[in-house]
Amino acid sequence: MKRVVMPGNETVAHAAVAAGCRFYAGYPITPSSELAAEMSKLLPKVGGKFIQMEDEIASMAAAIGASVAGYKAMTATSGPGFSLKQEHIGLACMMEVPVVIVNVMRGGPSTGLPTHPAQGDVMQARWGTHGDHPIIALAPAFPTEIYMETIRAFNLAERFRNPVILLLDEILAHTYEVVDIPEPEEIELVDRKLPPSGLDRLDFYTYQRKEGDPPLLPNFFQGYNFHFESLAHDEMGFPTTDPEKVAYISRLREAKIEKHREEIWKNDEYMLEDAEIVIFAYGSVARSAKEAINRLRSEGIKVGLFRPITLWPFPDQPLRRAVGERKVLVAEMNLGQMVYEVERALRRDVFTLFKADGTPISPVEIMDKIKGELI
Amino acid sequence: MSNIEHYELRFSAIGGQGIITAGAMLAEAVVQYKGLYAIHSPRYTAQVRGGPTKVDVVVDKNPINFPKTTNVDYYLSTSEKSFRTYFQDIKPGAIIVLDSNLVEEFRDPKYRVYRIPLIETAAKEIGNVVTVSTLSLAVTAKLTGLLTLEELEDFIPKRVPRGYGEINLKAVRLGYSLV
Repeated sequence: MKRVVMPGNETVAHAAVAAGCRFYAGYPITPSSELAAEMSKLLPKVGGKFIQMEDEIASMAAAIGASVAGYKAMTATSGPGFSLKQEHIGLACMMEVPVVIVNVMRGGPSTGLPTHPAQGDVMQARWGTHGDHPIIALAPAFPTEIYMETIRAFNLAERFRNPVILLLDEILAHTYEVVDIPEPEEIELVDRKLPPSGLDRLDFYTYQRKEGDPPLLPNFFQGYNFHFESLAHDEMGFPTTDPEKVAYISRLREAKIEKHREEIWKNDEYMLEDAEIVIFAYGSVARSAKEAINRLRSEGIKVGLFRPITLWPFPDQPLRRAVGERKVLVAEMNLGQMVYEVERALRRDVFTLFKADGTPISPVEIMDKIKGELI
Repeated sequence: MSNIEHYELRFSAIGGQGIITAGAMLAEAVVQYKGLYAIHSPRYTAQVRGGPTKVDVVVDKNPINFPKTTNVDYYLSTSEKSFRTYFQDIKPGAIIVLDSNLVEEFRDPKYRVYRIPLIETAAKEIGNVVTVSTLSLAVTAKLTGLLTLEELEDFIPKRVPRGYGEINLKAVRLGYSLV
């Protein structure tokens, strides 16, 4: 283990390279730019490629292209750029291409607040691209966790052949913090499964598989003819409007994530056991919540934290199990987004603390809310 | 200050003066030599060079949850405008270090104020204005007790660009003797 001090943006870059990322395409945007800058330094040293494209749309396309050619690929952006990437995120979902998209959240909508934090893109991470599609989104909160979750993002992308979105915010991206970097041999890496090389031709239909599995697709240049298609396609990857075939492949696309939710879900529970009040918070807000909990506990107020690290698929069952009938406060740096999922999971109303003015939710604000309304 | 629990510092300046670097080096050094946790968060204006900048440093015995300053124990500034702009959340009793040539007279019995010609000392006495980062770090280390002279003498030559070790060591020693 090596202890270093660096900002979240650089942590993601170092972790990506450790995870095997060898291709980065992006277009710089505050507060994610340092991530691109760091990738431009790191990738050439390991034989990787860094390319600054003409915009965010092109960089998303380039990352998908690199991935189908067999490279672990990443792009990074912030709010306005994340909007632009949505069309191609849908393409990667449809073609089942592994790719990691980092979105460092800043105040929005539009160009909003470039150098200030927000959590306003959590629903966009789920439903930003059109149509029904499976997605995984991770929201780490602590420096070493940012490193480990970046690696997990690549592993999940490869394992399920799906885009994985890594959500940070301006605070996590820009604050220099202590990161404990594990030795390479301590890191478990996942590579996509490939069909064997050297066959005369593929002896199976590429998109056909057991329900719950990702498709077994060859990489480009592996020596096979096969078809990648953005239109609804059949088990061979060719366009179809046959309702049965369309339903069949969409079901398989959803099932690969749906059936492995338990494996993808990851939550942190802090002082939950004897808590009378549960705070639901993620990303940097969860850190304020932890601090608030420590201070409230010293005053004898029993509060705990449920912190989803996997935001999508939403951990409804774990949340329901962990919270039970206790009072819940949802704190997020937006005007209320994940709260809808919390209320759906718990099937009741909860208390809320929303803030979307470009400043973080402080521990004191959480404490005041709890003292004022929940006890 | 080996039994430190929590300590907050702020450095403000005009972009390009090198004060942000002082904060960064301080955070790195306390992590390395004291086994403490530290964060530092720089803030620039769109101007970058020539505009007001600051860096906040939080030092803690434990991993840091809320990575922002709320009660600043130590504030160093080398610019009148920046000093005023970022004069927020300064704790009563805080140590305030001001560049005596660049920040106007500031009297307030609530604070322990030091006035040192930091930039002039770096330029004329040490011989290179860029050493103001190290000079400010040394002054800070001494006043707060966060780092010893020996620790800085070990840290600085490895941290600064090659060829600048000697002159920065001079800044360390002078800074430590100034206060």
